[in-house]
Amino acid sequence: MKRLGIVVATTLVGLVLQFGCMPDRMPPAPVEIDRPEFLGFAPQDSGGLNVPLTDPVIMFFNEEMDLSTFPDNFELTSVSGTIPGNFTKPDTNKNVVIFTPSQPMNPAEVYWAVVHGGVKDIHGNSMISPIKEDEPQKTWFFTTGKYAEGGFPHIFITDKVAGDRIYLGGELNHYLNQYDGVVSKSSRLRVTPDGSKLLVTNTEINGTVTVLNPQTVEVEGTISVGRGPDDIFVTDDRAFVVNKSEKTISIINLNTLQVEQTITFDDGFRPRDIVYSQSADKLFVSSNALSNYSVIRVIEGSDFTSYHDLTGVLPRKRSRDMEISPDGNLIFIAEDYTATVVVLNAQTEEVVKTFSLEFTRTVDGCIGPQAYYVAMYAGGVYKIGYQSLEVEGLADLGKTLNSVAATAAGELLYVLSPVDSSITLVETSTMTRISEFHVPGALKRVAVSVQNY
Amino acid sequence: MKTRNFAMKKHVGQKQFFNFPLCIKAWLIILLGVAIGGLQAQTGGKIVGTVVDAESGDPLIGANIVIEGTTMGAAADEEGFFMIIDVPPGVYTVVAEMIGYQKAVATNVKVVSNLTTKLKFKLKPTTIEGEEVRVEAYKNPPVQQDLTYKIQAVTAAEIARVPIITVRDLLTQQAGIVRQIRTAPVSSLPVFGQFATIPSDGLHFRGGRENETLFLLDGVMVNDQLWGGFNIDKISELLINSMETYSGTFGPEYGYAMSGVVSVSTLEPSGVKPTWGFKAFSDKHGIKGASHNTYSVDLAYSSLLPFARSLGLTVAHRVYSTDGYIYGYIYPNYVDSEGTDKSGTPKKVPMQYLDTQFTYGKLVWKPSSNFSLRIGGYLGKTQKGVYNHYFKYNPYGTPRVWLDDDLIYTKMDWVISPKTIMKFNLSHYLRLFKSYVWDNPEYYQVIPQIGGGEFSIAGEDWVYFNSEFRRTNVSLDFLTQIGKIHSVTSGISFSQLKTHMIRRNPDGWVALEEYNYNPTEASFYLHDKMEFDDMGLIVNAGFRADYVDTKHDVLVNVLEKREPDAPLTRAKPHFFIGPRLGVSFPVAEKMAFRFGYGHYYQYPAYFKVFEGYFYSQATGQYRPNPNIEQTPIADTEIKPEKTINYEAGVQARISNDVSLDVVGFYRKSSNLIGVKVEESPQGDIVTVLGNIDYSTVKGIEVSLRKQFSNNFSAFFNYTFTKTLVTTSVLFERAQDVSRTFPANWDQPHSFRANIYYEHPKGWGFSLYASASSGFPYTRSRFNPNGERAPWISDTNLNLFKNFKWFGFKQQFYIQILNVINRRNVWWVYPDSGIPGDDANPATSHDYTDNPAMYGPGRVIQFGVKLWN
Repeated sequence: MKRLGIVVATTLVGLVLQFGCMPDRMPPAPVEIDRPEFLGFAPQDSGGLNVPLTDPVIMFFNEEMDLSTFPDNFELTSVSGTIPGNFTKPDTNKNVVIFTPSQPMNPAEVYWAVVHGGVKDIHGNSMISPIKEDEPQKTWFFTTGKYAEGGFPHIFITDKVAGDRIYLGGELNHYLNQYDGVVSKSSRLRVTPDGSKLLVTNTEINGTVTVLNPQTVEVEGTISVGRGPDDIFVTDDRAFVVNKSEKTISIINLNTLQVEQTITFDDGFRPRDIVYSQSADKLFVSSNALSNYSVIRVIEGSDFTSYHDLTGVLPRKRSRDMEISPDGNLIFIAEDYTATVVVLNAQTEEVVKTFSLEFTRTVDGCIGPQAYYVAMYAGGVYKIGYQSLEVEGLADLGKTLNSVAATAAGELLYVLSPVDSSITLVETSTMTRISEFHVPGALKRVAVSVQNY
Repeated sequence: MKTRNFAMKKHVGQKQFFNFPLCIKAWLIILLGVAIGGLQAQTGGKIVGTVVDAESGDPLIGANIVIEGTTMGAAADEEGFFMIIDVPPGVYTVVAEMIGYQKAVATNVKVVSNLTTKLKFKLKPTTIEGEEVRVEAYKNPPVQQDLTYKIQAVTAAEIARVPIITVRDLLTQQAGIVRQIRTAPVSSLPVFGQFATIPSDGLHFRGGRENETLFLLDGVMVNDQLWGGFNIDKISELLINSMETYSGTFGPEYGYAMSGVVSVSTLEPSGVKPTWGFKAFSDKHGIKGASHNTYSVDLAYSSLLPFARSLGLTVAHRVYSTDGYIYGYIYPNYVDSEGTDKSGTPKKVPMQYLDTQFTYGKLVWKPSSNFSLRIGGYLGKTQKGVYNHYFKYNPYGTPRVWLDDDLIYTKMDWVISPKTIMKFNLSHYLRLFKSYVWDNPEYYQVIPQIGGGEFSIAGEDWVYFNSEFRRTNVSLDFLTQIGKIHSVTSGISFSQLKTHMIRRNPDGWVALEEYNYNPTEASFYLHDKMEFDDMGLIVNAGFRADYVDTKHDVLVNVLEKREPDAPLTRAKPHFFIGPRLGVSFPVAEKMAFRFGYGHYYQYPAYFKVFEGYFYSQATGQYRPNPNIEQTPIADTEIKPEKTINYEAGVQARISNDVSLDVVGFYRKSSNLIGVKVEESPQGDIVTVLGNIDYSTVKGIEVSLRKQFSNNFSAFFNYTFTKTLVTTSVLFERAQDVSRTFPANWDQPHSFRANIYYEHPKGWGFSLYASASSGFPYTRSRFNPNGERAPWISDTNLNLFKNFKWFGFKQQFYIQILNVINRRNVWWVYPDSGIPGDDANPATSHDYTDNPAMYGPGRVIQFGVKLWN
């Protein structure tokens, strides 16, 4: 019985100890309900170029954030899709949120980092009320790519006034130098596909073509061609120069730096722009005659003597620029003073598509691995894909343009504007303007080296 | 030693004492009681009777009559008559013995304060001394012949027979007492409901306002006079020896009340064998919809100390906690979405919780039959939530309420002669009331108040009360029996009060009200109970005189309230006398008529007397706050509120176990505190809190009661009342002070019934049912409170099984509250006449469906009780 009493007493005491005091009803101390403020992205994430493919995105807030709210409210996307990643806070600054990609980003793409208003601070307050329209915070950066492997391409710019001058740009978006006296009355310039030479036509009465070293911008040779050389097309071992005044075409052997053949026309044909199709082994030459603007002369590459004409290729005007796809199958002819681009199949010699673009008149075109780009006077740069033969992108730079050139891998365009003497960098996957630099001069035409320096 | 210990207590100080951890405090009070020792005294009942030879009928002169377990007793006189006065209320065993006669034992003798219990012992001669003992269970008479005021007394055994959760339930099962229920949204009350959290006893006695009742614990007043009332929820049920309730007229020994008296007597150590009990129940069983997350643990112990039998100890401890049935909800995105997004799983926050903790200790020292000393007291804590529908989705924004009180008392009873007793009482009562969201002003700066038209979104309700009330009371009472007829009691009492209150606007932490006033009160009463047995007439006559000096300065001219340095003058003290009369005319033993009459004064709760006062830095005075506009200021003269009670009733014996009591009553109250407007000749208007309201109540109570016999007991109470008032709500100005209308708490018809059955094998049930008229509401302002909400009814059932294993008793029970899960409607929208939706199409159902409009649903509790 005594033992029972002890058990009962112990049980009762235990119950009293367990339930003997009132529960604590005090709620936790109040926490602020101020909405967090987004202070910005790290500098390298704000329009950064050549950003490494695993670089984190760093976001600054005015207070500590709840990382669990970020996966649904943050995205890092490019034209290729979204990059997954993890969110962390550094110990040194809890107001910072770092997004680290869990897989490498794609090279040479513009990535948009977007923070939506739904991200919350650690007290549960979002940046913006969920009932209001989201006002996401955005930034972008451009990932590294081939354009940055082993350096950056050289950018060559000729001057409209100082015809003997070439400006050099590089380091992606910097003006580096100017070279005077290396050319004279420069007109067009092209870099050989292997990148070993830069050729500049000099529109003098006794026309010449200057061969320059793309790395050093030193003259390697000057080749006399016909009168008034203007357009030029190059392969690794040859250059085709249209001597507009002389109405001939000079074929230069780039190994010997000698003109090995001059094509003349006895029917009064006046050559204007020229491309060479290696796959078809033909030269395609547009007509400079106002009365015969629609004709494209096709010159057989076997001896460059026989030819025939394609008529009705250009609808209204003469050509402004001719480019040919790397496989030599598609010729893009930009019509002068119009917004028309005609695509000609080099094999079938038929017009496969005619584009009527919206921006005012074409000024220059260039070729990339996957697309043709044409710059418009009124500020647009169109991207026309080889496969789709559709306009795949447009960059509206908002200012007068007069020349465009692409990097070797086609990742970037350098678009030249005479208005503010600027060279604008446009990435080609989404045709986004990513940078700009200025060159002191009356800018005329631009070319990009194949190799990086 | 005693002096030193007492001094130590004072040195510690109440405020610091209250800062101790709770459980430590509980033990401290017990240890303090042990260290000091003491005895209890209070106005008791009387046992009278005769001892005669069973064969000859001759009086047995000198027979000894002893109340077992006590030192009280008497010797029969030459007529065989004996009288034991001042017997604490409770149930006793009374023994009569005389040499040459068998000992006679009467068990189950119920004693009620101020009433006389009559016994008749017939002793049989015996040849061998002490050879036999004759035990008889005393039959309490169905008609209490000397009842002049209606008193409803319940003993511990009777308490155990009805389904209750707290002692408050016990009160509201009685006739004429209704629970206070708020019949309007908190935020729509005056001053945006800021005063919704202030303390109240939460009870209406016979149509009176709340806080018109005197509460006594061991005969010591435990009312908070600053705010009024007493929280009776916290009291340990097992500690109660008896609870007596006057709900109408009562004698002059009771003051500070106009509507009723509740007197709780605690267990009295009565033997070396301890009296103990343990009771615990909970509804934390996981049954969805039948739980309020409630638990209760109650423990009581009372015994003489085996090593010093003149010393006795009673201790008790109870903890009760319930979440209630109204919750707030915190949705994850509610604040962030500015109150629009209620998706996701919300956090449920109890908003009408109630937690109480009560620790009681008492030491009784009876060195002789002529002297007793008691020291006792308790520590009580209460915390509760007050549901404010506006904060349904911001539940932490509502103020929480803390009510801590403690009592320590010393009582000395000196039996000068067998018929004269002197009592000296000294007590100290403290109550702290706090109501706020935060006590840290910086916290209010963290979150701004943001709210929509219907619900709060963020921030806190700007409510802040912090108050302290102390009362030190010393009193001296004399009780003398003059002959067999006159039982005269008189007493004098003095109280030093201390009131300290701060009411702030948390937005800026400005004190709207702040004062430290120390009123004094004194009283004297004289009461003669005359029992003319020959005439069959019992008369209770007496009077009571009270004196109140508030000791505060008031404006000379209340219209100068807005002048910061308006002249002040000392408030006038008040002296008031209230006569009391009660008469009973017994008709044989089967019936007794009675009549009660009295003038009852109650000085208003001091927060009303000091309403609007603050400490002026400019003048260095406590004075009316010239900038306070939301609440009125107290009038320059506050008189006591007054009620004249009339009561006429009849008791009738239906059978030996069944009695009927019918009483009609009329109450007329005047000088009630209300809001009035004073206007100066210049047109300045000042709202003033003063003696302007009045009320009348009339009604009938019918009580039918069957004592426990033949395995069951039962009661049935019916009350009809008509309560007409000028205003029902604090700070609400009377629409027309020249007329009255039904009070917000007026329920004309009220039925309560209980049946208790206990099978000899120990199983049984207790079924309690009640039904009452709905509360009134105003549809048209031309007919205030002219409409009625639906009837309210309730059914509670307790199923139990008793065991007696291991030498003590056990009971396991299931208690089902609101058995039929009725959704009682406590109030409706005046324009629609229904709960849940008003007639305004612009309001959402979520907003109008205020859960406080409804009573709780079914709750199932499981409990265990152990006792000896």
